Amino acid sequence: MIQLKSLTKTFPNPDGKIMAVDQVALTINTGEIFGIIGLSGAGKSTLVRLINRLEEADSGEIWIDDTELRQLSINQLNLERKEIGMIFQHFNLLQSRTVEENVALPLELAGMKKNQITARVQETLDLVGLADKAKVHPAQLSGGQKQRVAIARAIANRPKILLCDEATSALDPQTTKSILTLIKELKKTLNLTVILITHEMEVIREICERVAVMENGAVIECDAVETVFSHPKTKLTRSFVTSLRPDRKSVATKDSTSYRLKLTFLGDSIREPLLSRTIRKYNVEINILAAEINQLATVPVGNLLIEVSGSKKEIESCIHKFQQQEIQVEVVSA
Amino acid sequence: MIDFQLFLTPTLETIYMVFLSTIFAVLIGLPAGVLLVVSEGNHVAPNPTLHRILGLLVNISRSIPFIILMILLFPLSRLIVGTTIGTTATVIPLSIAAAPFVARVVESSLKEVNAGVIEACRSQGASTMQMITKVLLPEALPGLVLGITMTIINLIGYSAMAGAIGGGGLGDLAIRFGFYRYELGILIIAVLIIILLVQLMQYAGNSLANAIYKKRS
Repeated sequence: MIQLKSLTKTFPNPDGKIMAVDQVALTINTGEIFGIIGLSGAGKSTLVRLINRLEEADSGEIWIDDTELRQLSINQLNLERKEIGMIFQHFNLLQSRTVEENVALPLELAGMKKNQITARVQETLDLVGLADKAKVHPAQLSGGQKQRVAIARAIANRPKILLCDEATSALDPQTTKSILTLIKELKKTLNLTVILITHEMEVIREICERVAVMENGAVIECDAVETVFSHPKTKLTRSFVTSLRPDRKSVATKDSTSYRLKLTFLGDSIREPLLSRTIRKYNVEINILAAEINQLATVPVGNLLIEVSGSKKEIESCIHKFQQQEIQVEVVSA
Repeated sequence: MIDFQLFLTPTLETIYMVFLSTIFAVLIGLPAGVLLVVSEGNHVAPNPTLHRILGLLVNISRSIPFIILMILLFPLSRLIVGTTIGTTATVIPLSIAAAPFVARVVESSLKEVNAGVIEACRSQGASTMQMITKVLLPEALPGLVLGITMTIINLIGYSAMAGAIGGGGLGDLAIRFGFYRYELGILIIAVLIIILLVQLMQYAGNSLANAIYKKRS
């Protein structure tokens, strides 16, 4: 269990002091994935750096199980840090080392024997699915692969805790998903406690069990993710929740009777009486939510947001019909 | 006719002086440069007092013109080598003149190392010594190679200057034959050999740095 007790950190600035972290008290249970969300400048990155003392707090306590980290000498702290892996937004891999040498570094720092290191590196690269890139230098890898190497490096010493500082913020949505899935898997296999900093609510929804919302250095809301999603208490949290894009996957599998569709059509198809024909042919009702026509350089482009109600089968066949007429169909939500 | 045998010994002397003084300059300058970096405010081992004193020492020794430094260091040369004249004696002032330069070169290369990488290694529990040997120096290696190349080239120039006050080598040859005895041909050839040495060193240094960059890309 990780317990933060009234942690405070200020930074000097020309007009006095900036309160980066303000009296933060949090309890993070062993084996959970705990999210901390906030806008940039909210103090979440500083907070996570206080935990492994990359930044020194002004006051407060940091308890990891029975150890208070702020009481440790630098040598004791360096030992404790081997129990706390950390990954970063920009991966921070060493260019001077290959993938396997990067993963070996924390083991070398911990004084592990050469032959043990080789075995552990191999095993860890297997865990993150990059065994085939062992001899490659990081410069040759994609962002997602670099983050996998960074994760392998962070877990090489088999820590109890993994700190993720905006670990997916430099990645595209697809890669973000795969990295989050990996973290979730590793949490289970290695029994990790994960603290994850992000400014994206989607990341929180994807893997976190509990979430704390930070604003101006203070935690303004902290609860189970479902609770925060269904009953956001503060204005900031509400804005995070509404910023979420609809989850397409859950819509597509749902046996719903009402679909919201976005239709995009080009050129001549714009002049077809598409909707009235559809209503006549299929047993559905259509409600127009929004419509616009934009004139591109050569052709007009129409965008139409509609809600189609009816049986699932009927809706699917009318989606099929739209697609045959070369209209792009996107299921927005149910 | 010019006797080419005449140039062999001075060329070897120059190489000998430059080689030895590079080694000593790096032995003094590298640790000093590393200390300058790590002792800085927000680096791995902050120590503002040490940082300021080292910076001051480096600046003072770099401000003294080489020719004057050489004369100032005559007693030290006599103490260590037993004489103030000749190639071995010249190695002392050359090393001491180049060491602060090496320190600054090392400092600027190490500062290029990504702060995020340093932070990541701190989070893994790296001690200051581990940080220096496993992270800072390897990461900065190409820059260090280029910096030391620059030092060697400066030392070739300085060693020629040292020749003017009894240092031996190609500078000594050029002064004695070319200047005092008006043998312009010898002077020109001596200078040409120096140019050749500089070119060779720059080429070797660039190739080595590029090879390291290439391996990492």
